[in-house]
Amino acid sequence: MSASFLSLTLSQAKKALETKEISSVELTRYYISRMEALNPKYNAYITQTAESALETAKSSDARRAQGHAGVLEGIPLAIKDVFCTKGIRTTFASKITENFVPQYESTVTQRLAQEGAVFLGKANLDEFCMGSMNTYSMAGRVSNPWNTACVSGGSSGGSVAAVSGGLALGAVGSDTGGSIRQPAAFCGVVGVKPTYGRVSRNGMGAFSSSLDQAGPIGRTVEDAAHILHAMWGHDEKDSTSSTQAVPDLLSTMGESLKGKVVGIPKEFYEQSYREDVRASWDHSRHILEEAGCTIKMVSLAHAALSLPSYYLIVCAEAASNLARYDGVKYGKRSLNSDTLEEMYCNTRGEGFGAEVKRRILIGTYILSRGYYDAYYGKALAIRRVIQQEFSKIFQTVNVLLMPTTPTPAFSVEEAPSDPVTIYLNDVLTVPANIGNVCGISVPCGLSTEGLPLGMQIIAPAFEEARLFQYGNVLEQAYRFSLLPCLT
Amino acid sequence: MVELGDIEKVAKLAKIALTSQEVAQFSKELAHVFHWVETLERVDIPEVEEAAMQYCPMVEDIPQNVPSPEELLANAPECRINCFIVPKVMGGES
Repeated sequence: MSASFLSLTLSQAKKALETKEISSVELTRYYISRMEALNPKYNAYITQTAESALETAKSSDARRAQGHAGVLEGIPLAIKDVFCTKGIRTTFASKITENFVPQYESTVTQRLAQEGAVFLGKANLDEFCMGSMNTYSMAGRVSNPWNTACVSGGSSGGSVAAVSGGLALGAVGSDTGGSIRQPAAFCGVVGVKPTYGRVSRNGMGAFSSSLDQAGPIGRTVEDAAHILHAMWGHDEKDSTSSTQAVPDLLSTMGESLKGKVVGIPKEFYEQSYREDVRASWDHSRHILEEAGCTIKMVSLAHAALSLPSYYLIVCAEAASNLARYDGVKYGKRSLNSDTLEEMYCNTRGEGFGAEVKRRILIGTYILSRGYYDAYYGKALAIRRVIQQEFSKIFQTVNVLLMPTTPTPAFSVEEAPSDPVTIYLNDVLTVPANIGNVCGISVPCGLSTEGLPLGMQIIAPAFEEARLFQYGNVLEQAYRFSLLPCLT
Repeated sequence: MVELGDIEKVAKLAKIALTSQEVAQFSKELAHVFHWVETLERVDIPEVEEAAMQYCPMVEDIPQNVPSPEELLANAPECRINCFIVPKVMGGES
C-alpha cells in the first residue's frame, strides 16, 4: 500500500484511515521519508518535526481505535512558519527570530491538532509574509516542484511546494495580498483565501493586521474544504474574528450552477495577457457556461487602484507590527551596542532582510507627520470605495471569474529585481483582499512552457461555499490530476 | 521626491540602522515606489462614509491565562531576577 500513498488525495486518505485500510503511523512515516528525501531539492520546510509527527500519528491511531476521530484525524500537514507552535521553533523566515520558540499555540494550529492533524514541519515563506516569490527567506528560496529553476511564488511558497511536491498531504498558509492563491497557481494546487475574520489570527505573526488571513492549501478543492473546516470559526482571542456561522462546505459543493450569473471584471479583461492565460480564462468561462451559468461583464472602476493602495496600507501596518522586534524580550539582539537606542537600531538593521526594511521604511514615511492623510488616509478611502464596488457588483452576479496570476511561474534568473515590478505579481489577487471578499485559485491547465496556470473564483464576503461550488466545477472539467510528484 | 536625507530621517524614526549602501539603494527604490503610488493623488475619490477600518470591536481588558514569568522570559536574550536586561538607556546624544 505504501507505494500508492502518494496517489491518495487528502480526502481519499481520510477514507482509507476511516476504514482502517491504512494507519496514520504508516501514512506519516511515508510522508516523513518524502520530506527528508526531497526537502534538500525544494527547501519547502524550515523546520522538520518528524519525531513529534510520529508521536502524534501513534496517538491518532490509538484515538481512532477507541472510536474517536476529528475532521483531519491522522492527516500529515505542512504548517507555514508564521503560526506560533508551542515549544517548536517559529522563525517567520527572519534572522531576527530564527531561534524564537513560542510559549503558546496559535488558534489555527490548536484547532488543527484538536481535529487530529499531524504536523510534519514548519514550511518556508517570504520573511514575515512579505514577498511573492519566496526568495526573501533567511532559510533560502523555495524551488517550484514543476521546475526547480522557477520560483514557487509567495509568500506561502513552502506550504504550496510541500503539497505540490508530495512532501505533505495538505498545508496551511496565509494570504494578505495573494500569498496563498498566487503560489497555489504557480505550483498547480488549490489555495483559498477566506473572508477576513473567518480564521483566527491569534498566534499568527502579524504583517498587516487588517488584511492577514490564514487559509488552506490542498491538491483538490475537496481537500482544501476539509482543512478549512478544521480551522475556521469565531475565536474570542481575536477581536476581529467574525461571529458569522460557518457553512458546511462539503454538503453544497456538488450543487448545480444552473441559472447563476458569473461576472468578469472588464477593466482586467481588457488588459493584455499572454495567449495561454487569455485562452485559459476563455475556456474557464466556457466551462461555466456549459454548467448553466450566464456570463456578464461587470465594472470594477477603481480596481486599478487596489495594488498601490494595498501597498500603502500593508507597509503602514507592517511598520507598526514589526516595531515589536527590538531585541528586548525575544529574538535576536545585536551585540554591538552601548545604549538601548543603538541596540534597537543595530538589532533591526542586522536582523531584518531588505524587503522587510523597505516596507518598514515606506510605512514609517507615510505615517509620519505631514504625509498621513495624503498617503495612508487616501489609501483607506480608496479601500472603502473598492469594497462598495464589490458589494454593488455582487448584487447582480454570483461570483467573479479571473486568472490568479498574469503569468505562470518564471525562472529565478528572469525574476525582476525592481520592487514595483515585483509588486505587480499580485495585481489579480490583491483586489479580493482590499475588497474584503473571499477567493479560491484552482489549477486550470498548463502554460506553453508546461507550467501550471491558476483560475480564480471570487465570491462575496462570507460566501465561501460558492468558491467550492464553482471551484469544483472547474476542477471536474479540467481534470488537473497531474502533480510533478505523480509523474 | 524621496531624498537620501529623507531615508536617513525615516530610518531613525523606524529605529533601523542602515549602511550607506542601503541608504543609497533604498532612496532609489523608494523614489520609484512613491512615483508609482502617486497615481492615487490624482484620483478623485467619491465621498464615502468614514474611511474603511476593519471590524474591530473594543473588548474588556480582562486577564486570562496569564503566562508565568518563566514563559515570558523564555526567549529573552538576557534576563536576571525576572527582569529583561538591556544596555543603558542614556549614553551620549540619542
